[in-house]
Amino acid sequence: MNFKIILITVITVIFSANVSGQTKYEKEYRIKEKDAPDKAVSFIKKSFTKCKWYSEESSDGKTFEAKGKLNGYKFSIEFDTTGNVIDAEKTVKFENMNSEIKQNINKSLLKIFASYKIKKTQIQWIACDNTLHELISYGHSKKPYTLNYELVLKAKKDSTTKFYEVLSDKNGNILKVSEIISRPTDNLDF
Amino acid sequence: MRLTIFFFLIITAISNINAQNKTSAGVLPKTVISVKLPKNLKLVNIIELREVFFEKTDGSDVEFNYNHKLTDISALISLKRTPYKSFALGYRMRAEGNNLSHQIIQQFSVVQNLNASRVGHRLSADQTFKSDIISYRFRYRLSFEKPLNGNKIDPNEFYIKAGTEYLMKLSDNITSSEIRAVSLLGYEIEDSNKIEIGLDYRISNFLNKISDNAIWLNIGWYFKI
Repeated sequence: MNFKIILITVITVIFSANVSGQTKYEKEYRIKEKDAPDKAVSFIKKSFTKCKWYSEESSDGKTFEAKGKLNGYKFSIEFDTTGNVIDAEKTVKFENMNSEIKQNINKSLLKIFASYKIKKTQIQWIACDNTLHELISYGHSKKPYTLNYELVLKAKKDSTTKFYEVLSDKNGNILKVSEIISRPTDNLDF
Repeated sequence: MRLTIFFFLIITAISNINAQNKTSAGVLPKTVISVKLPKNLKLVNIIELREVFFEKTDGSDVEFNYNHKLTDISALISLKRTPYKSFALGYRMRAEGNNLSHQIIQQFSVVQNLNASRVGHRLSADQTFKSDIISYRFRYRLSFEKPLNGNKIDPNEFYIKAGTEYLMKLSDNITSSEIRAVSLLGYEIEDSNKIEIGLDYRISNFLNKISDNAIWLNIGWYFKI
């Protein structure tokens, strides 16, 4: 009897919570290559032999993302719905970066955070398609392009430790800091 | 998934070492409702039932034998040191038949974010006060969670969760142990509201001649206010 009452109560609350819950719409899912824009697929095939494709839908619109590996580095290339490249990102190790840039980034971060630990570093390139191909293949190009650094940090600010995503320009000046909202961990903790 | 199969194979092998086994099967419904408090604290309320439907001892037939085995009601205060590290202290009341026992719980948990999955580690200890006897339990749980599609779990999306837990109990100078393995299908209704359903296999007294095996249909609901 106890079990029945609890089960009915739980089901009722689960569904009422779902109806009343106002959540920000965001959905990321794996797609097949044939479902990505043709222009994006052609771009990827010039540099990569194998890629995983994803689509992300949110209230801001829909984007496509290809994730692949080249020369031992992980790459992530984001496209709009027509297949135009938005940006390309290459995951690198912070300690392997140019020491002057590392110093500048560290200086900028210490102005914002009491302490921090860099968890992930990505080089972000924004450029035309041909330049991006050169950057992806060789890591440099003589043509004009925008280079930023995207960092994921575990950092302490106002005595609270949180995760942040930080965007800096090529000189290490901070352009944007956003807090990463972590998903609840109750189902792994209890 | 391979990890789950591996854990199941190990505990099945252990259960087969014994000459005689006692097996029970039933449902394990659990609700976990957490309430956010100031200063990175939260109050976690858990109600867990154990409903046995079938029992079998080696050499006998499976018998339908409904038995409300126990009710656990717990309240824990959890402090998040970082978004993925937390300490919790709490109290659990266990009603088993006409017996009531009281437990004090301490736990530390860490969640690791991998590229497309999360791994949870939980170290926990509890002390049970029942009549004049105090029992001590130490446990470690390893959990793995992965979306069925894409790299992250979004609202209205299914995911899988698998895990294993090792328990050691010390009571009246007698030591016993238990191994648990779960394989669950989860559904995230929204970030703070998810349900999980699947199999939970437990084996205890596996070093003795008669081991206890239990197969549960594990149903969990996690809700955050």
